[in-house]
Amino acid sequence: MLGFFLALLATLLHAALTFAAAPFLMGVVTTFRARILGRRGPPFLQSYRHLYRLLRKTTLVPETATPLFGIWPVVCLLALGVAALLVPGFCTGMLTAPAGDFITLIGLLGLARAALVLAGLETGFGFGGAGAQREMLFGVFAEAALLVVLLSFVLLAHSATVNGISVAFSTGQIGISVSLGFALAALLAVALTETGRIPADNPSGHLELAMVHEAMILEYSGRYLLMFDYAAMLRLLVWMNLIGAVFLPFGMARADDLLTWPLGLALWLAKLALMAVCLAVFEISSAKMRVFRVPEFLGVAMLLGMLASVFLFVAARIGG
Amino acid sequence: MNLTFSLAHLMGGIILLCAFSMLSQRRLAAMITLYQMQALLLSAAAFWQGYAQGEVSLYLTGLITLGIKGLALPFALRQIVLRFNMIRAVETAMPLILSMILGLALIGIAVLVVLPIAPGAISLTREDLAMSLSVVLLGLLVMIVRRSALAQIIGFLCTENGLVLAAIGMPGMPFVAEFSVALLVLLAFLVVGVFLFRIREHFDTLDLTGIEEIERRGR
Amino acid sequence: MVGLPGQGMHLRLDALSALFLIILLPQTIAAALSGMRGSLTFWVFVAGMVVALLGADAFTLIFGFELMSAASWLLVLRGDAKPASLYAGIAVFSAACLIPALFLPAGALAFMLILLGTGAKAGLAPLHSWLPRAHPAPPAGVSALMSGGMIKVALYVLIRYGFIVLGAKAAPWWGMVLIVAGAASVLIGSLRAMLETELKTLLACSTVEHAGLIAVGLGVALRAKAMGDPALAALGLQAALLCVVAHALFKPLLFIGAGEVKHATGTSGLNWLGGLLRGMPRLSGLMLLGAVGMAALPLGPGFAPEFLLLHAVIAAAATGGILAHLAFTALLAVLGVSAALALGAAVRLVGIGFLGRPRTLQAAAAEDARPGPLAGMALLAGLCVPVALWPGLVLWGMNPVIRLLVPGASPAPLAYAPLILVLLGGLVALAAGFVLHRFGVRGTREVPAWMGGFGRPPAWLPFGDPMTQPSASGFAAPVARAIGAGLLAPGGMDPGQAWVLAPLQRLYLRIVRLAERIRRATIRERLAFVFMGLVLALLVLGLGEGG
Repeated sequence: MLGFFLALLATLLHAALTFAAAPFLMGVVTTFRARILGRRGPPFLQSYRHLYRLLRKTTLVPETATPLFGIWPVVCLLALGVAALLVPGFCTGMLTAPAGDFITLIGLLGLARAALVLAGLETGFGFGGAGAQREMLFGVFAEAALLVVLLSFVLLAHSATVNGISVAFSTGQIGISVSLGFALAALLAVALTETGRIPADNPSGHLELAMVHEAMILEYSGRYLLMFDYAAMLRLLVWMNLIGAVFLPFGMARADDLLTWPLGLALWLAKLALMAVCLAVFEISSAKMRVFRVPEFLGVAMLLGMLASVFLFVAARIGG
Repeated sequence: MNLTFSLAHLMGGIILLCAFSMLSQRRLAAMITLYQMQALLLSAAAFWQGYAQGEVSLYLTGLITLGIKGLALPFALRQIVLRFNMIRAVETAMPLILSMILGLALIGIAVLVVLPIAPGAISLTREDLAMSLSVVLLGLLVMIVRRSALAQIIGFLCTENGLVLAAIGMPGMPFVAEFSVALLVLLAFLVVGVFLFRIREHFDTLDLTGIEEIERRGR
Repeated sequence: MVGLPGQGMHLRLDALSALFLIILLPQTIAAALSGMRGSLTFWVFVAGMVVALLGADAFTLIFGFELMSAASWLLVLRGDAKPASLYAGIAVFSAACLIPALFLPAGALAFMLILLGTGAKAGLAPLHSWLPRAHPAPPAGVSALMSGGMIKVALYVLIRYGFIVLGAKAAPWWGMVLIVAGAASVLIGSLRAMLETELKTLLACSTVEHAGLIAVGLGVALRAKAMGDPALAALGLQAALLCVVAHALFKPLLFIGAGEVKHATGTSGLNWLGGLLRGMPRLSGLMLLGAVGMAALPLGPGFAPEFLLLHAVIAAAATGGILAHLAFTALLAVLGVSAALALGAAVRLVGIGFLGRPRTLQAAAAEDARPGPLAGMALLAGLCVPVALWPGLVLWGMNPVIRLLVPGASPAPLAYAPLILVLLGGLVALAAGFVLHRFGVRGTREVPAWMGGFGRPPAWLPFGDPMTQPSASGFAAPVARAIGAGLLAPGGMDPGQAWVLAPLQRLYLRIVRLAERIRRATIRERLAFVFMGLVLALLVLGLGEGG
């Protein structure tokens, strides 16, 4: 009974922290990036102000939009919101853990992507379509790479839920494995593409021909745009949580042990900050790719995932 | 799982990763950077193995690797790139993704070859051997799929790195062998460097397509 | 009673045929509602399928199967004569493989022939390229039943023979062959579904993909059963059978909808549609549901089978040697690529056809579908909901089938719980709704679209210039360039068409020319043929005697 209560509490705390911290994380990345480039950059809380401003604006609906115009932002937000609840953050063993199968998670990310693409096609204007077709192209390779990487995780951890993988990797039974190194590289490539960061897409770019995510939501305004923007922030946090849970699981709290919570929370924040810095440094030190280079980039990720699975076999950790 | 092996294998893995990424690069500058990273990691791996096995000669290997391959050769290569103004050179003989799939297949073959060799040995040694062999094969593949002479040199150097990786992983490998290999590479590099300048003098380019064309006509 | 003389016809209903009969029922009702009620051929077609499913002896089975083929050929012929001859050829080939196979002793040869025969009928690669041409030809109701039902009957024969009749002799490599054929169909089907611009052809390509998915599941199960791993076999079967059920619901729905779109606008080319959601709201809503199933999105009917299939493949990767491991890793990559391509195809169907602005006047003036087809679609959509939200219940209902196919298997419960996702989504929605309601400005204002800053269109173009909208082919262009160029034959042709059917056709032409030459021969030449035949026979006889 107590265990259930604690798990519930942990889940609620995780939900509150995740939903509250998502804009902050985005702000931190933006600001870090600006600082490294020698600019002062916006304050850390700028993302919240941006969201609040959108909340207070009138929502405009184009005449050529269909009645489903307002549905897509909701679908996108809900899919990512559920994904954010499923991926463990500061602790393992939340109430949502059994439902957090990795493939379900991939499906939810796919749902969010579908909503975004449909939003791009909604009003039938050129930029939206251009962004949508590029997003679809990236998705094809990203999903394949993700599944191949997942194979290594499942075979190593004997569990397909993110929570189970995290628990298995945190016990240290696995050790440092070459396969995991390859898998990490592949997962990072997918994460960068999916979150629309620099080698694939420029999050701060407003040059129409070069953008992907931004192009699809150009016709949106007010609270619909708020939902899309917030969903993008959630997506970044979900991916960071995912990478943290799988590759940096040390020090994660256990939901049924209240005493491990403070350390887990502190470490969680530290990991997020570390990843934000890494992301900022990576973004300023690399250039955006041409659109048709991105499939190659993700193709490398997919092959790295396969390499991980090959070396898994060599190390004889499975099947013998 | 003891740390010695884990760390050594992680380094081996990253060396392999560098070789694999080399296949996916179009620009010579990036290839050189990857080569340098590979060489630096290799010297780190040599130091680590020297510490773990208590062999002084491995430290020496590490030093040679660091000096020649980690610093001198990349510097020289960058000089060549600068002098020939090949910064934006893009030259692949086949689609990148195809060459990478070939690379993956080569790694698979390396694994297939190594698996039955050492069934009794602990799994990590097998992994190590498979990785070295893969690096060697990938280096050869780089030599095949690139048109530029310089990229072919880098592929050759990568092959040599794979050999050294195998050598430092195996306890009891005589130091002389590695020393001679390193010297050989240096010599080969010098020869090829001179050769490059000659090609450049005659054809105004480092792209070997022209030479292939002449060869074909000669027949 | 018809049947073999002295034996008659034997019918039998076991769990497997019951399952397939059940999935046949709703789509038959829907197809009948969509306007096929009065066609005698249609009912013969249905009767053929039922007989094939109920047949207890080989003769009854093949009788029903061929009845189904012949009736569907007549129906295709009424729609379009050109694919009908191709379809007839495939049906004859399939019969030529099946009939001897059913009477051969159990073994690898029999299984291979059955795989060829049923695979040709079910649209498995490499014999799939007829399907996207023949399935769209007849009226929508028949297309629906061909894609949703006939394919399943062919797969039923495969399951019945692979698992039950020949089950004792099964070897792991049978499963591997099935997996390879399935993976190829999945990849080509989904890629072509992404590239086709004709609505019904697109759906037919997606059918090839789903037939491939089912084949992969069956292959994993067959291999696992032959290797003595009933748990994995049960998982693979669960994936395959759930995919059968889901596909039999959403694909007929989509086909009937496509027929209604054609009825309302006079075309089913995506490049001539657009903005149908305004004129046909009810039809569009139902199509959206079907597209969610086709895209295998979570909370849709297509996700649970995909989920099970991926888990089955991952579990299978841990069995066997390194080559099998590599093959399953590659299979997983193929499934990932195809899943994303299927998503793209569904998104394109909805986004280009139903969203955006109308591209033609016909699309702008479309009125909602007729009540009959709409009722049929609503029936199928209503049945999709339980499959989407309670897949565990459907799987529970399938347990007898799985025990029949893999004795001693205890199917595991499903790890994917859509209701929990719905609950979590509801909570998030509540929170978001509260924030928006409490702090936000309400209401929306309708304004001219920004359109990248272009001015308002002139008055004679009330929906703007259609040329400024992304088209269906434009939407698929990046995929065509990045993947299609590598996988399809030159000119974007289907590889099955270019490398299997076209060479066969050339061979056929050559044989026909030869026969024509022989027919036109003079008497002297004919006498020479006969004489040569005689000499050859004597030679063979002599050599045989001498040796």
